[in-house]
Amino acid sequence: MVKDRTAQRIGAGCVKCGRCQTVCPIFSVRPDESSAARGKIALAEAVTQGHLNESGTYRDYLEMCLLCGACEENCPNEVKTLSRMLDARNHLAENGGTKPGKKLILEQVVGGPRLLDLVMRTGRAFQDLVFRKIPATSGIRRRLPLPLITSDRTLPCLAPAFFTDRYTGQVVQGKGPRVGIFPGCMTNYFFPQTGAAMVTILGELGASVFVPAGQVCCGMPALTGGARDTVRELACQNLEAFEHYELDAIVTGCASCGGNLKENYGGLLQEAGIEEERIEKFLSKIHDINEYLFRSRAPGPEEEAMPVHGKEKVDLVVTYHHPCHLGRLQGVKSEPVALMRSIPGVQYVPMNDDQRCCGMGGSFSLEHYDLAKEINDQKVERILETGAEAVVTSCPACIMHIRDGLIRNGRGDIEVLHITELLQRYGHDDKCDVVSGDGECKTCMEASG
Amino acid sequence: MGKLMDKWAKNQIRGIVGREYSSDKKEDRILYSYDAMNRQYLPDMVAHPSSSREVSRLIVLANEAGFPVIPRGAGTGLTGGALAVDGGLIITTRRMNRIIEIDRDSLTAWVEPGVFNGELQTAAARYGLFFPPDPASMDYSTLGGNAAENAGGARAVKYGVTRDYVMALEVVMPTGEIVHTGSAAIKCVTGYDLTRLMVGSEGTLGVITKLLLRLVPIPEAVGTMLAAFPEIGAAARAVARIMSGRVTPSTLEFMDRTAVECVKDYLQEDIPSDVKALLLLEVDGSPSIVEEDARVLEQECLAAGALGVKSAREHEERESLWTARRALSPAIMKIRPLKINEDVAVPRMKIPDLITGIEELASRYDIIIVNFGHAGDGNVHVNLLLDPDDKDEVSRAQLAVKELFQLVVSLGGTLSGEHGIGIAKAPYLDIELESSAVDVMRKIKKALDPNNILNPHKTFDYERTSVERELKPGRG
Repeated sequence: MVKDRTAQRIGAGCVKCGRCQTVCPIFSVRPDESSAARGKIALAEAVTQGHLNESGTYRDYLEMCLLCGACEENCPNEVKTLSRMLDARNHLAENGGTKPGKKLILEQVVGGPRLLDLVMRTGRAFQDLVFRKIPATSGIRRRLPLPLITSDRTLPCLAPAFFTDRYTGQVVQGKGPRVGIFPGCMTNYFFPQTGAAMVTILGELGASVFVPAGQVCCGMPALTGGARDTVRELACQNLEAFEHYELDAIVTGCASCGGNLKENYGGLLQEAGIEEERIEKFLSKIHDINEYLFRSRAPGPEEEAMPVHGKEKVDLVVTYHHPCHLGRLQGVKSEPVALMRSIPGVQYVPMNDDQRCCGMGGSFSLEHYDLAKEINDQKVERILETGAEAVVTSCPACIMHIRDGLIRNGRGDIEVLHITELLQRYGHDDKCDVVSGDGECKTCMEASG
Repeated sequence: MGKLMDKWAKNQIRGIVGREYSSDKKEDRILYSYDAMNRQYLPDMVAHPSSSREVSRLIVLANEAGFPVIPRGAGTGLTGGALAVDGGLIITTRRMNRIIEIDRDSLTAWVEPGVFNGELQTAAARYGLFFPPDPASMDYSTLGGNAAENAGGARAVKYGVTRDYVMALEVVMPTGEIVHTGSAAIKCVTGYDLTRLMVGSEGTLGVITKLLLRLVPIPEAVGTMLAAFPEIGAAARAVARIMSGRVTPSTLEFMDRTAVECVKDYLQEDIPSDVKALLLLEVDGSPSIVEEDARVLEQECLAAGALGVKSAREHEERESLWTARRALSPAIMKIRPLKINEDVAVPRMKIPDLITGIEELASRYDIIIVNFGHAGDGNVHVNLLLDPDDKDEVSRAQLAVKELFQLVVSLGGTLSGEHGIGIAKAPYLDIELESSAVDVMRKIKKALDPNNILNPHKTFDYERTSVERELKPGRG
């Protein structure tokens, strides 16, 4: 019965018009029917109609998708291509179609938070041995042959201290709302400075800031890998971890985590038998950091009344890359732009195709680095056209991939920053004392008379 | 025909295009089993040749081994022209995708067939030029496919169709010879016009491997208007008035109420409920001419009974209107999961009669029929919307289609304005063409393709019941 329902859903609405191919980043570098949504849907249909077995080739074709959602956004028939792909991958996984190694990683490592932590700690201890640091840039390249990691790829170092090592439980005491941070794995292990920036900014807004203990991976890699059972368990653990602190808001600086929490947790928690009321309460609190900061601004003209005030003079040209899972999936597009524009001295120059995927696509870039690289090169070209000195975005995965692309193209001098880092660095100074709610900064008000 | 491709033949194919660029895996065969007609036939193999020489060698092999060859651009055709009805080898043009040269002075472009129409538009725009044929699929259909189907588009009312912009071709013939047709000279009457024979031949007479296309300078200004009418007949009257007047619009698109509702979200316009039809008009030229012509067309619409006319000058607003119109064809699938889309065309003065006749058919057969299309050139897209599970509705629709064709032909019209015949309309060919005309076509086909290698069952000889290779259609 379940199988029949999947069969209907997978085919529904796609008339094979081919329009998805115009916006598919993979199709742009690999113009084959297997690249874009139309072909993948045809294959999934063939499986559910019994014309095709879930073969290795089928799996490879399904995996060759960034899940960027551009096809869904541009489909005239509004075919839900993203959920189609997840359904098909899940069906494949249930029937034993996932590569054994990947299955092990998804279920045991991602799904077992303690093991993930151990792997990361071990990795940190040995990374100097396995990788070499690249001079003058903040990254590492592999020294020894490693599966899935090509030698010309620049990866971020595992942080000397993980975010949750330094911040757990209540980290700021404030008079304002109780805000919990969901850092996500990449921020935790690779970019703790993003998490730290969030703590600082939220603190300056007057919030009581918490980093709930017991939170685990959001489960996005496992979900895209078709391991829905694993993600269901992770969802329950996260729900409990955050409920414990009785928060007013839960914020994340990771586009993918945020997208997953908002879009998929409802269904996952429901499947796990959690009461509707609890789910709704939890989901209503989740915000991307851009959204939260934008909403916390004082009333008034958008770009003049942001919660951050700049006093120190900076002169920086930036451009912005919209992460697929923030712009398209969560619809958060104008907020980061407004935030950047609120910083005096920061000049924002939009890039062409700023909503086009950078080519990372989670595990996609591990398995198809050649394609990910080509798509990334298109992004780098768009960045260079703007003349920006720094690229701002709101997703640690995009940061990692774009930084790799810039270094590979000899432009490691262009910084790639998370928006919170930009805000922390230039959006305030020590004297600036922004009070939450009314958004007034005494120092700035006085200074401006 | 229909002989299975043997192992020897497959190895030969691999030898010609390379292992990397050919496949007989079930997955790849499924991926090339459909086009935008949304029906599926499994080919035996798929190959992606990189040159006319490789195409030629594949076709010579096909004649030797006796398997069909089906040329395929981007698979966006609506009449099944790229379907491997009888199995065989699909050859795509995806690796022949270079814009070889754009000549600003002679206003021409040499392109390979796998270039997307939209790509050429972008490249030509850098020289202040454009390629007038603009099928709704222009961003994702190839120029080779456009030429093989003789694609039209909204601009045809003023600029004509693909045929009018193809000056010369390189073609691989059904027996493998590489032939050059036409000339770079604008006037050319040397010998038979093989270029025009090839354009619109649906891949049955040759595989186009290179095209010399005519470009046109981009007009300085464009004005877009949307006119609302209280009834379909008034809109049709407006079309007749406009087309017999002195101002030729560059576009004259027509949408009936059902069509309008489908794309309301795209239009971002609050359309009152007494609006039963819309005309979308464009004029182009110098800014002053655009202003004057726009005023003339506006008056014609009002005189024909328009409720109101809106003018869009903002680039963005105009583009959003066009996005909607281009997305319309697939978007109407929301009303019913299955549609039969007939792109009939009549002499433009007969449009009111056609619309009246269709309304009568719709009510007599109790079928939802959505009409839209290029009213300025008499090319109306008649969409019969169906639930495939409702067998009675499906058979009523089939009867209605046949009557529609009879109606169209009785008005002096044609079965297809721009989608082609393919397999979709092959069974109805004799409604329009006298048998002596079909005989001439068959003789041409036989003379050029004695072994019936290239794209068999297209245009003629398609009987659905005789076909065994069909995959179940992936309906919604």
